[in-house]
Amino acid sequence: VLSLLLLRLLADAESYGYQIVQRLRDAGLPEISEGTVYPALARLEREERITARLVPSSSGPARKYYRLSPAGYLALGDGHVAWQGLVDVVDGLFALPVPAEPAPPTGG
Amino acid sequence: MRLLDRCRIERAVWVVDTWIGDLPRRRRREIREELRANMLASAEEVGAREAVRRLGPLQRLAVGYLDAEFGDVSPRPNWVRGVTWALAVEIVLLAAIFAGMNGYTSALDAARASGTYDWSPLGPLGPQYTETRSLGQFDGFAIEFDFVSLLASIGVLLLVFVVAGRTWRAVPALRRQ
Repeated sequence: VLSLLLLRLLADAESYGYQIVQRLRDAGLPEISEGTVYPALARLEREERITARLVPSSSGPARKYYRLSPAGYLALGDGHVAWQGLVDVVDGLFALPVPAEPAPPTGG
Repeated sequence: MRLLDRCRIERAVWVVDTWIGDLPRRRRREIREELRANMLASAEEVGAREAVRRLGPLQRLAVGYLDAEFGDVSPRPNWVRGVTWALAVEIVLLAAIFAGMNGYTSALDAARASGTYDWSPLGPLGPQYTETRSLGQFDGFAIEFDFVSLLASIGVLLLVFVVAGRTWRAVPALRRQ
């Protein structure tokens, strides 16, 4: 799920690691750790779903900005479809009323 | 930024770098530089101490980088494993040489040879075994290993180690392709 979120955020705007963490926190994941996000970015880069470039920073060393590659856009589309399928299954199950008692075992 | 804060950041970068020692040198440098830049950006907002805390356990972060780099490649390139293999090969090689010397002596015994006999199983890279015999009997032996040969053999071993290590590291990239 984290990879999918990262792809979605990077589809919106090219960002560097800490900036992506901030955007995830702003999106409603305040407890997310940098230590989780940075390796996930490294994995996406290894899988060639995102590309990176160094951009000089006025306040420190150059920052590594990431953006989606063509393979990243494909993965984003596929991931969204898969996620939506999972959501539909979960929603379908939770749409049913919860009985007061579980049904007794049936069959032999 | 205060020196102490900078030291906190550098310490965290150094600890992570230590744990990712099995990655290629260039990749390690990239990770160090990126991590440092991210931490400096974080420290500007929340302070260095909090920036380090927000990284979470540094070992877990390093393991995450290793997993990201190697994926499901198994066994992964590992310095300790590499050195262990190199030492094992060296020991087996030495054992083979000593067994060879023993066999050489046995052959001379069987031939009831007399005189001085030299045997260099590894040519200029290894020791030279010299056996002196008189009246078909063993009289004495000497093992010579000069400094240049020693350096050359270490060089060859290092070369083999580096080539094997590089090939091993190329496996993840080849599998990805």
